[in-house]
Amino acid sequence: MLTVRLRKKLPDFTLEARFEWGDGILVVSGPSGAGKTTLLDCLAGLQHPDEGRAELGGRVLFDSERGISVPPQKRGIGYVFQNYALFPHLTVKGNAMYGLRSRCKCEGNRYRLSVLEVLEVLRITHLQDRYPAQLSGGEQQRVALARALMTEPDLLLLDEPWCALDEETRAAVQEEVVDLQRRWQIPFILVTHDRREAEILGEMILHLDRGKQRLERRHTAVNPCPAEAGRDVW
Amino acid sequence: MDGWLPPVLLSLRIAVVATAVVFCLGTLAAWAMVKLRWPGKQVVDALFTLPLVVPPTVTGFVLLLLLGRKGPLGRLLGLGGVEILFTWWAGVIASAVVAFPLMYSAARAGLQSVDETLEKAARTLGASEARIFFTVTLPLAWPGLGAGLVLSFARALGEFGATLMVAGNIPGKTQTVPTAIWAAAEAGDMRTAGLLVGIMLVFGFSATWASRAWSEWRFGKHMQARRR
Repeated sequence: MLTVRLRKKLPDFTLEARFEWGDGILVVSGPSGAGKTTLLDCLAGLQHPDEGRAELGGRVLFDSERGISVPPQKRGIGYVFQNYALFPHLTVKGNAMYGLRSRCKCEGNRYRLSVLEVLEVLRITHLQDRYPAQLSGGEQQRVALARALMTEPDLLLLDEPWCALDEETRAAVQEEVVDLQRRWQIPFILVTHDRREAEILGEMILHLDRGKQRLERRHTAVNPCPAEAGRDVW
Repeated sequence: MDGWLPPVLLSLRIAVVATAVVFCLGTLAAWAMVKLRWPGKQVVDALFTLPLVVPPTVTGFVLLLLLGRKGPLGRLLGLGGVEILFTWWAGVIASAVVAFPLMYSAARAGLQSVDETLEKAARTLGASEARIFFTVTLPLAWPGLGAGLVLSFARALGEFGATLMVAGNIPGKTQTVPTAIWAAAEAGDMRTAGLLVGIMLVFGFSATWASRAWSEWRFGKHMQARRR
């Protein structure tokens, strides 16, 4: 369970968000410059909110009142960046394994994944010795997903993961993400500015416009039973 | 025609030590300049580049003041019984100071070219700042750092003005190739001067050629099919 309440002053407006999220895909939608990426960065610890508090599975991520801000390294949050941010000098395997050495979370209810298993699930096993520049956009995205999931995060953030992909690849990849979420059973937060996409994927949509949020619960075909996961906490 | 070997060996020794020092300090300074925020950055940046734009004799004069017996650094060293002026160490310092701006600017350009998102990604993957520096930043900034290394070595090897002022031109002790060429030409010993000039030309040419060939080989190996 992820609980978030934050406020951050940006040059043009103030970003305010307040929500709770369990298992499933939460879509953050809104026009460019609405504060979507800033919200993800605050959760990942790459930017700092001015005030607020966030908890993930009982662990505090930040708490302005108590002056706590866990560094990004220790948050246990996977992040798939907009341009994937793959390391260009490392192979697919090198990229996927980058997070393994730094984190060893041997206990937990999920089974520990081997590199090959994750590569297999994402169908990139045959690419493991290639460099990112030699991959197509869809392949790069799967590598980015593999790299983030390999660290066994408790939450996965995806920032417009398919803006660089063509229509056909997009549809296929969207299904993959839904499928991955079901397998991993951790909350996903996915940013998109595509209204239609938001409706297809999200069990709950958080609309952001100039920093103000509006929550919309949805019953999608993807997950007909969203349970109480997306309870609005206003 | 005699005594051409000691200056060659001494020049190499000075250039290697100076370049090693400058590589570390220049990279560190560039890193602090690109990655950290602190007041007075612009001033320090100009100061770091200064030895590149003033005549080496100006650098030499300032070093003379600093390192001399009455200078702040010279006095400090004097307490430990160390006299640095007119030893080969003074040559190392002169070469290092003059070569520093080249390493610094190249390293700064190299570090600036590294996409910050990659460092952020590494952070979310749990890598410590030190690990990020050595596994992401440094390898990706390498083209710039390598260029700085070659340039600063060449500059250190060829340093004349500042070296002459702080290390002098003592044959067998502080005489480097550039000062030896000057001394030989002054004395009318054209054969020694010519031989040393030839050595420098061959060396300079092969260094440039080797560094280009190496970077092409590297480029071919790692960056093949950079964009499909």
